[in-house]
Amino acid sequence: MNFLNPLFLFGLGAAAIPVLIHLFTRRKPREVRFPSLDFISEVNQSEIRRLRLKQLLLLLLRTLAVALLAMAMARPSLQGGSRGGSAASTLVALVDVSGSMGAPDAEGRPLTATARRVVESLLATLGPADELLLVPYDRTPRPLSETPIADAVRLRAASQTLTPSAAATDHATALSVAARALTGSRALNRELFWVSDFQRTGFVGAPATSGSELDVPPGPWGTSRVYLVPLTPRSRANAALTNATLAPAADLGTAPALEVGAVSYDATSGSTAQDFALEARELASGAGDAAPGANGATGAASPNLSLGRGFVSLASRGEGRALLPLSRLPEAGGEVLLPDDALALDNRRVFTSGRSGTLRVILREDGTSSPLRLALDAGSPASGLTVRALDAAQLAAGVGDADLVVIGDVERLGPAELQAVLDFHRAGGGLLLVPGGRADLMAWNELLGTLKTATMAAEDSAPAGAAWRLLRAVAGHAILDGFPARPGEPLTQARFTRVPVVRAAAGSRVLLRYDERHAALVEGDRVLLLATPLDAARSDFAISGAFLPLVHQAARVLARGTAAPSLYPGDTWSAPASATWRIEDEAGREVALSVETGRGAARAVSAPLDRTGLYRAFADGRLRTSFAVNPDPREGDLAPLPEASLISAFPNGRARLVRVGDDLAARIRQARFGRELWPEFVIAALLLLVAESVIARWGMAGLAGTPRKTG
Amino acid sequence: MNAPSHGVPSGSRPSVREARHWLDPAVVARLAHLDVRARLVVEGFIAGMHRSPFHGFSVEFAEHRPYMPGDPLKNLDWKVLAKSDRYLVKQYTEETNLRAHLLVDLSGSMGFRSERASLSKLEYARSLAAALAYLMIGQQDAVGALMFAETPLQYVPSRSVRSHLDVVLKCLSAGEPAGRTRLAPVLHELAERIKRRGLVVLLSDLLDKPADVLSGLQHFRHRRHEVIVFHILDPDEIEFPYTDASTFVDLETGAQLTTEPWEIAARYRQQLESWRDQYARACREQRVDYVPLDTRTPFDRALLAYLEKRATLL
Repeated sequence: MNFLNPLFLFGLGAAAIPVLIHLFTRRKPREVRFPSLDFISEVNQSEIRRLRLKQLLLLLLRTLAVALLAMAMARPSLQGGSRGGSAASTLVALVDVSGSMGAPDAEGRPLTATARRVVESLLATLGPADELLLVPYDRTPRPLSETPIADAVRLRAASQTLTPSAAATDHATALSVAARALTGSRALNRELFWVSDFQRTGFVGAPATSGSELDVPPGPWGTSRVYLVPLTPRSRANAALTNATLAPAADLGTAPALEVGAVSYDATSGSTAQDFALEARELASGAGDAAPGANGATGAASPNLSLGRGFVSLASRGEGRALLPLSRLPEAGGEVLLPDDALALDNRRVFTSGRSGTLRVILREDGTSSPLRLALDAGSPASGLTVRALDAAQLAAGVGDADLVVIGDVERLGPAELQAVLDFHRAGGGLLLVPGGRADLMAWNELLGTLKTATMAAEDSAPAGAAWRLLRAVAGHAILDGFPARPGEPLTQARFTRVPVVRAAAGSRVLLRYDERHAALVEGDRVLLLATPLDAARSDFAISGAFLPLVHQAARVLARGTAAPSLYPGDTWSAPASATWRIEDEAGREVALSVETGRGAARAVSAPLDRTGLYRAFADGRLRTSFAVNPDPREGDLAPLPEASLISAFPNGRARLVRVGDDLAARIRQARFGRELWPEFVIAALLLLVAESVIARWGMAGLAGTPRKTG
Repeated sequence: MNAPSHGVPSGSRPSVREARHWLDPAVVARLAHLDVRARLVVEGFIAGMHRSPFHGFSVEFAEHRPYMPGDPLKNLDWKVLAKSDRYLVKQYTEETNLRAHLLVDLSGSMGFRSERASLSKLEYARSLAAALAYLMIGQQDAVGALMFAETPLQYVPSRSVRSHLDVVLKCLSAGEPAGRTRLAPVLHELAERIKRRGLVVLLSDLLDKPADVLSGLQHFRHRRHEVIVFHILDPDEIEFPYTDASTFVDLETGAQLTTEPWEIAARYRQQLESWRDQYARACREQRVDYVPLDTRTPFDRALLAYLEKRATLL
């Protein structure tokens, strides 16, 4: 028990008052002459012990009553405490501003509006010595300051800017930031306020049932108080678009079509499938290839830009796909729309098309089309790749316009071409190196040595009847998305009878291998060495189902950093810094760029792309490329983690739920200082005084109605 | 007897209201002389008798007197009325066949007078005894008196002549309250001394062991005496209204006791009531008239008790 006004404890001295009164104000008994003391002494003998006991009891009751009143004024409280009455509290407010927080609440306002109100309530509880770290977060925590601050004005201003982003949720990362801030605090009270919809998909490895445990990052949770403020959307029935890409056949003379993927999260009741209307519209290309700025591309699609309509069938929970025929191929890109539901964010998905919408791949190759060229060119431009095959003479001139250079025959490059390739790489460009079966080891090792990627040796042959398999060596790499996930698993059924001996250089890593001695895919610094023989004498990999997606994903990751057809909000876009870049979002707003140098190259890197939509990148004033930023489909799953799992994730008794509408200040006071006990103390003191009166009166009961003699 | 100057009737007959005024101890306390007190008390008492159910106290015809309004009709001489058409009332002369002994406690405790009382217990007892003596002599009963404390202090044998009243009153007036109450030896001694059967009137606070007191009374009863006990207490003794811490000093022994009176008052009253009940019950069993009085009780109650007892004796 603590006292919020401990100075009043000096009032305990008043408890001595009854004793002092008893000791010093006892009047001298007056003398009364009486006929006979027989009765008095007889009664007194029997009563004297009870009288003394009663007097002691009365004295005790009076002393206790005064002491309790003094303690009541000192405002006793259970748990918590504020020694001195103004101990500092460090508060961390984690405020979820992910895309799902844009869902409307029961009053039709975004959940972030409610979160703002909660933060304002929280700010109102701050004392002069308290400090707070405001951490809005989605996939990335963005703390307002490095350490908690007491600047209420700044905090209040920051709280007003809390709006939902388009990014996905990563609770754990935000929680780590909070843990660090609380660990660094030396305040007596350390409190975490976590305002979120507690979307289950925001927890990596979230438990499936409410009884399971949720792993939270380590932190001072045992000595902190955690307030969970769950925000609930008006509805969790939501359908989300997961994919919108041009069908590969779009450029083959047939009618263009759009592959649309969607997922339903409790969008309908029951399991009966329901058709959701789809509408595809063209996004205006704006300036086209012209210089940016003056024309200002607009993202608003006018009705005459409609590309087609269709339906996708979705069960209550499940995925659906649809091929949406397009009236024409959009020039720069388009969007697909779903009808409004619980979350508007994921009802729109943007796709790119046209030349600017593809990655430009330069393939150094002579002669007829190789399996590598066929694979790269397959589905173009719907695949997002545009392949140009150049001979050695053209390479030096053409490499400047490339996003990626693919080289299959280093041995045929002259010094000037080789230098052009190395310059391209130093400027931040990506290289996909695919040595063939008859590779000149000396030429290749010279290049690989320069790139510090790997070394190659003469190929080994498998024993008769045996063959190598292509095995996964790492987990969770973008190039290998969609392939068997566990390291050691074969990527494909393809067999390899002769493979080169490849060893990764220091700083490079092996993504695929045949065995410990033979690496198959080595990742260096913006370099990928795919040491898979493609001729039929050595393997059937070129005709396996894994070859094409592996090459496409490798090309995308090298050129853009991701294998996905679009970026997620919060991603950055980068390109070789050889040109002057300018990026605009769909509304024509410029996105900040910075040049990052490192590992021998300079790349232009955009600021995190916060908005969804179609972005355009201009190199030296001309439209160079366009790319889409679409929300993470997982953000559309509005199902929360069970509250029991949330609470049990923290040490017992440290986490408590605070509902919207609760008196947050009262809850904080009660938890921080404990429940105040002064009413109980006052009641106890009054009861003691009543008891004292009753006991005192009890000894005079027989005198009722008779006259009294006063001294 | 000389009447005092302060409002005492001397010549003309007082009205009934004025006469009854003298039954109040607070009024009697203003009278200095015991004989005056006795006369006035008795006159006040007799003045009110015509309204009481008491039927007179004389049995032998003495003379006629004119009928006065208020006289009982039963005393009207109907024969004279028939013969002479005059309204005459018969007056009787009492037979002298009762010997009364007034025993007055003169112990120290009888000197107690609280602030609420006008008379001390002794003064009350003296006044009452004097009134009884006056009444008895007036009825030609023989009256004797005994003042006692631990031992008999002064004794006057019983006689019925009117001049004996002065002797009795002088005896009653003598002495100051002192010493302890020792009723039993005195009662036993007197019981042995009085040979002729009569009426014994004890006026005391009975602050002695009840068994001893009752033993003494039993002795009188054994000698076929009739006994009336006037148990006289002060109001404060009965109600014990003290509130502040007090040191009580025993009037008889000088012993002291300091206590919180209001704490023990209830138990004290219970004890006192039980003690009086014990006397009342024992007296009833011994066919002794027990009359509890406090010093504010009007005298007529005691006088009436005496007359009722006398009526049973005659």
